[in-house]
Amino acid sequence: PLVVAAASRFLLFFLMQITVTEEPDMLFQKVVILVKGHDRAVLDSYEFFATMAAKELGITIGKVFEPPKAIERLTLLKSIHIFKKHRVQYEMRTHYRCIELYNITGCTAQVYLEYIQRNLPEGVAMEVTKTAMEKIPDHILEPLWKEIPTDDKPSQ
Amino acid sequence: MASPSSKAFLSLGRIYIPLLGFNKSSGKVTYATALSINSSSGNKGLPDRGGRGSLGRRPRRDAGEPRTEKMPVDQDWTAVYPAAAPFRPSSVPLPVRMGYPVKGGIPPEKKGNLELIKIPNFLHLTPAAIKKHCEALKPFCTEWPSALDTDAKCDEHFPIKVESTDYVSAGPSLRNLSARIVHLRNYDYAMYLLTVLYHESWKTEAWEAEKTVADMEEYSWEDSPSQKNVLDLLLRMKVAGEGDGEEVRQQLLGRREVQEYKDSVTRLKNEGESESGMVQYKEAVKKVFNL
Repeated sequence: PLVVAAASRFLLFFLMQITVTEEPDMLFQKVVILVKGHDRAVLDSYEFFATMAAKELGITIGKVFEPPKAIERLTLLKSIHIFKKHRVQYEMRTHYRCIELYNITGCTAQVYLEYIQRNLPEGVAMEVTKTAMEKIPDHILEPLWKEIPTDDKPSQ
Repeated sequence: MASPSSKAFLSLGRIYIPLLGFNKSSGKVTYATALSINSSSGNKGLPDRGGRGSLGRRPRRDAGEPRTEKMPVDQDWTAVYPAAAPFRPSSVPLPVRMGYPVKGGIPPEKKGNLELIKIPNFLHLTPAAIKKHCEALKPFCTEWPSALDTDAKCDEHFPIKVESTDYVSAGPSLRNLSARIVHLRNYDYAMYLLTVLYHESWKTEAWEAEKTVADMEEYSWEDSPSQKNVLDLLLRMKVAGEGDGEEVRQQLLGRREVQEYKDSVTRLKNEGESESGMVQYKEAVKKVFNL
């Protein structure tokens, strides 16, 4: 049986019920979506869908490009017994499509990625790389021993 | 256990909506609920048919005219394909042909075409549908803060960058092997490492005070033989006028040619010798000598 495994967290959005929290939003400097599939036409259509959805939601699109395809070939014997000179060759082609998005907030990223992933066609896989930006945590701004005076023995 | 359940599925398959009675032409009524399994109804049905149709199937009703004939030109396509669905030739009013043509022929038509059903279609994601979906999703999105428009500002306020990768795939197994490739073990550990390194960098040892000029990692021009040489040269050339004191030296240091000479020498020493470095040094020396 086919099992769809998704590592990112999805939240169910209930209709007519939007809760606004005081928690600060995460900021993503760059979100890179790489889709892999066996059919180039399917990836073309998916790219059109993803770029149009990003434009409608107001997300700045960086580059949209096509990394070169990867072909995995194997040569097997045609017959089950002897006939070494007669072989058959198979190949598996993996086409890629890469979409880079810049300056996107955590809420928007969650909404967009969930929308994109729910409409991922069958036979297509996706990898999402997110670069989040964060402030320096408070406990690093000053060394800890300036507040708590302790004897600091130098190491050997 | 297997045989009664298979008969139950037969009866469930013929009735589209459970909990509804369905009157067949033979007069036999079959009910099916989600919980009860009517194995006896399947048994009665088999002897009744006796030779009508192939494989014990009941005579099929004729399919009416396809929906495509009744579709108006300005219809709402999002209502025809609201969600992802396989290709239905009677619901799509396009003369699509797909498949390898017979010799001297054309690709087969859409009616009964397996190739069109196999390939994933995007009929539920037309531009109109995408616009509708995005309109519904807009309230959940937030805007990027307008103050952080350049990369430099982002780096200034938010210097730490955390990269994470997620994978979406389908297959016979739950696991995705590419998820096992990591750079650093986890986020908490990374923050702990950062704290430790920060505190370690503040610690100074007693022997660090004995650092000499030869130990320095980078070349610094202040108090170096190069600076002394340049200043002595300029004083001998009597550029600044009479007197040989600290104030005259400070004045000379502030001059533009001396600064350029300092930049070129520092660059040569730190980055090594290169074409552009030597050219810059030549220009600086020429300016010092007023050539």
